[in-house]
Amino acid sequence: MSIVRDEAIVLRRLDYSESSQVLALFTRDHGQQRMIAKGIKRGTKTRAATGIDLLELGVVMFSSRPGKEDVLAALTEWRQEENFPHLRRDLPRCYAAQYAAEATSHLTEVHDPHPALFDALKSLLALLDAGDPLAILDAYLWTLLTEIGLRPELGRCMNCTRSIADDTVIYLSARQGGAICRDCEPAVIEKRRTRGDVLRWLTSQTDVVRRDDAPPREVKEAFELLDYYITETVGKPLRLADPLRSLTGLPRRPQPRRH
Amino acid sequence: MADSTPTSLTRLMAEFEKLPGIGPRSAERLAFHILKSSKEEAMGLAHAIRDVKDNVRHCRICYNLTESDPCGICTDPRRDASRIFVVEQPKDVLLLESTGLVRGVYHVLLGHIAPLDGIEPGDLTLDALESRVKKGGIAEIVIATNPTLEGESTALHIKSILASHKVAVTRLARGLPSGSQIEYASRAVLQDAIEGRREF
Ligand SMILES: [Zn+2]
Ligand SMILES: [Zn+2]
Repeated sequence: MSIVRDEAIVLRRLDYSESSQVLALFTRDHGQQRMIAKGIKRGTKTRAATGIDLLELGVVMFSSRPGKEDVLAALTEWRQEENFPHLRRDLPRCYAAQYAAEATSHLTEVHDPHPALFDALKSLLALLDAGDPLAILDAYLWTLLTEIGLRPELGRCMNCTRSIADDTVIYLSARQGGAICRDCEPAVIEKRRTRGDVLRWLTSQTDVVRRDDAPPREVKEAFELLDYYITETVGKPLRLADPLRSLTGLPRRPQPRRH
Repeated sequence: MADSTPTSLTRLMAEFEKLPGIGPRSAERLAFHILKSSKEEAMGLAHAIRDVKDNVRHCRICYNLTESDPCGICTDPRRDASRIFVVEQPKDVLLLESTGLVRGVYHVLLGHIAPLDGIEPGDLTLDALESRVKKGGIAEIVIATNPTLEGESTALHIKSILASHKVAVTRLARGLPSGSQIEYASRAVLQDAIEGRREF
């Protein structure tokens, strides 16, 4: 048994008993970790009897048993660094952050570290204090797909390989792993129609930074496209998809196609 | 446990083990305690369990747990029915009542909105709260949900629902607990305390 110290963000938080919690943490250097925090609500491990909240950033100490990765790790100490108070004052920001957390928990593996993605999630939580929350979420989700190696290829058609850089209407297919041009589109069943401007906005998101010039229409359509792509990749819609859509004025998710 | 254990005893142990915080060893100890206790004592427990399931229900007005519907608080003429304290759980009512400071009435949401856990606004008693406000005569809604991310977002949701009604919406204060030391307060608690400071 060894004690590990790492920076972590709380992705899920389940009340386990009167005094304990089971947490899904995204740690910087150890990837996702599920752990039990015994007695956490009595304050024995946090200095304050408050428990550990969702989307909090902190420094965690936990015991892990090498070779026994299926057993829940045990949290031994938690020091809160930041709880991003702006997320508690605005529902769209709060739900955008939870969408990011849910996507991260579905698309990264336990014990699979992604330090750059961790830093991107941290930036997202901090940057959600101003600007268009969907613009920051777009940038984060694009980083997420890049980091886990599932970023769709948007430079050329996945079928005929021709460049689509100047096309105005383009299709995205999760199964094909990228863009499909207008000519090839009829032969592809699983796809979603989009515009070249949307893809250009997306591919310009090389970092999670706030962009005050974010074009509102492209930002919304890019989110819809990412939500579509993530739904197809995960195999089901995220729980935050509809709540976030209704708060940001997007129509509810189209009914899933059968294939 | 040997196979010779009587079936009823095994069943009792199995039932105890379903309770939160009870492992197999504790379940065994409890079951043997019941076995050794007097018949009156044991039946007292059995009846208490039956009564709580038969008689306790949610008040049709405030959704607090009660044996009389509407509950004693909702029907108490001395309470200020124009001030509604909105809480997540029935046990929060007990705690607020224990302060002796609440002269108003309550509304129990029976949870909080938690989209990550699949809990949506429709799963709570929010419609009933809005109906109470719509009926009129309500001056203040005091939101006393937990200061967790879910509790705060539930509070924001309530505020948005009530925005179109003529009612004051307030939120319980946050900050340093009495008897604590600044030295041991987390950054978040200090932020709350600074933002929520009052004239002294
Ligand atoms: Zn093509
Ligand atoms: Zn009542």
